[in-house]
Amino acid sequence: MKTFLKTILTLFAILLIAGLSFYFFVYNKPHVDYLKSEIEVEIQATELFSEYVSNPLAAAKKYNGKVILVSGSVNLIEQSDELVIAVMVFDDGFFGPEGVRFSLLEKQEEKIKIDKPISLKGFCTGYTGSDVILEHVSVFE
Amino acid sequence: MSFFQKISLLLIVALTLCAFNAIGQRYASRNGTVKLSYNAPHGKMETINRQVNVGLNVETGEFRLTMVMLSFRFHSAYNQEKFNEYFIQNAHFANSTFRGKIEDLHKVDFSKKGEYEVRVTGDLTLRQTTNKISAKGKFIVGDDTFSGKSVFLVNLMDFNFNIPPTMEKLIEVTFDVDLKKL
Repeated sequence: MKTFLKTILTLFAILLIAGLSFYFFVYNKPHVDYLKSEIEVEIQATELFSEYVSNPLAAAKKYNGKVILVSGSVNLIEQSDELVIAVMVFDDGFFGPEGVRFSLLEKQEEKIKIDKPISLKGFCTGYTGSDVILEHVSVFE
Repeated sequence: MSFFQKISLLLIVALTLCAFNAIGQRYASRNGTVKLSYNAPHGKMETINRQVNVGLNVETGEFRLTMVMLSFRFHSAYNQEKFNEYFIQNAHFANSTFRGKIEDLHKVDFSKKGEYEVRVTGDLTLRQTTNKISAKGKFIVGDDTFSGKSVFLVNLMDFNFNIPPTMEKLIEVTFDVDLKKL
């Protein structure tokens, strides 16, 4: 009986340690630090936008989910409740000005000068049908 | 030209201008939010997309929404990674859209501040599968802005998701947007 109890307790302890390890090291691991992420693709904003417009699926396969460095000029900065978005505008459509939209990391907007050449690094999430979206964006210095 | 002719001409020009102004009055936002909440085996999960494109033509009631799936953000890095992996590997599922109409737009007085109950009906496309949905919503008219809010349920099985039996099939979708005149 004692051996049986010992086995059950050992199994329980192993399961508990495995569960806690999964929670702390896998489920609860920190998010990717996009400030330190390596650049996978470098491209001009005009080229990126026109690739998505002309063939959205081919461009999605090429750029979606990649950390890319985009060069161009920011034409406007929008501020919503939780996001600061820099926009490189190339067209006009149903939803207004269309182009590449960069959701900026904290305090990055201070480094951006409107209509001046700049390179921005971020995680490409795709094309909405009107804009190419990059998230977790920082100014590349 | 007589005085009467001049007045008639002015009236025609004014009416034409008004008509052109009314046609296609569009309101839009690039920062609409869509929050998905669902019950997973290990508890309630939530994810939010704050970069949703929303457009509304107040003359026709035409309503459009587009979003990229990779813009959804999770609290847990593990869930974020799994979600991103799926939509990167399946680039053809990268976008979701809704195209529909506000059925009872006549109830909304855009010149009067207030809250109006409406019904939106249209086609929701998710994972390249389109289904008709109809949801109740609320329209809030303010100074130069309109806000739209809605909470509705979507059955993942209708969109051919391969869901483990332990996971809830219904997800709650919370939609929120502040629209501005274009």
